[in-house]
Amino acid sequence: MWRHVYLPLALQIAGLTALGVLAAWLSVLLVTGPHAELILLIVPAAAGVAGWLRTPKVAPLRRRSLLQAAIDKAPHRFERPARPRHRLYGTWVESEDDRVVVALVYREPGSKKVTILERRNHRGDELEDAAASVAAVDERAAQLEREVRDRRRAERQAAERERHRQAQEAEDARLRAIDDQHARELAEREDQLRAEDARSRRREAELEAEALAKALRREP
Amino acid sequence: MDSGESEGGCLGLFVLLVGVSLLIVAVMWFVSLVGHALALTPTYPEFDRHDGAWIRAHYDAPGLGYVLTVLALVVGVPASCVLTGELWAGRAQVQRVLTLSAVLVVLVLAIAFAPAGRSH
Repeated sequence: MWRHVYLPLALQIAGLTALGVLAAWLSVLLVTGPHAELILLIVPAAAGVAGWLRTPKVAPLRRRSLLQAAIDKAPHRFERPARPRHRLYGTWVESEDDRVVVALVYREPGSKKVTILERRNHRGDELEDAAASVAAVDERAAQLEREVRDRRRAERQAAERERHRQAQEAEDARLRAIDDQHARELAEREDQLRAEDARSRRREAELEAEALAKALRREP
Repeated sequence: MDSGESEGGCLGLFVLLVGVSLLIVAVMWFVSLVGHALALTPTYPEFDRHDGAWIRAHYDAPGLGYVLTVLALVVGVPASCVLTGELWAGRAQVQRVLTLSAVLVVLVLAIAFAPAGRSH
């Protein structure tokens, strides 16, 4: 709690003090300069200091810290991976006037903003009902988180399958291209051999014809 | 009939021109007043009564002074108002506040250290 409430508060006080000193120094410069342009900075700085002074400090920091703890310390936190990258759910309990509010809350990954999803109100003397609500909301939060994880896992598996299918298709296409290339080369080689065969047969026939003609010819 | 319409059109054009001229004078008067308060530009009466040589003799880079004044009015004042409103309401977003503050600081430094304004 100290780290989440009083440390930020101390930082706020330090920052606001620095801002106040800066505003005072700029005001002195505004008069002695004169530098009228400094009004553009002095007015927002003074508004910042005044706005901070008139708003409650500890209660919002404390509530924010408790809201974070409602998610980070949820009973189902042990089911989460070390670095969850999905929406996290929890159960938030607070008193509001004479009622106890049990709320289902969630936080997106990488965000500190906690959103209330649904609320259940109980009177202060409805101990059993309030406890049952807390248990039910805890169970629902765990269930929702499991569903998110399952959905994410299914999406990952589908993406993995799709990648695998694409890789398989690419490999098949590559093998088909190699087969086609081999078939083309084979056909070319066959054509070449057939042509050579035809040429040699023609040459053989020519030689035979020449030899026959020579044998039959009456030479002087 | 046509002559009457034509006269009405000329009168309208004349009134429009006078109106636009008055508007330009009013804007120049106001910008000069703000620029003079920022020690960047001459006032409109100075601007009106003296020639360019006098203005250049008494003010450094009056053109830059007018540019900075217009920037202060068009960018600086709205940014300062928005920042003031957000900080006063206590619902300021860090990113937005830092951006607006950076714009204002750059503008104020530019006005403070620009080589424009009254010659010493």
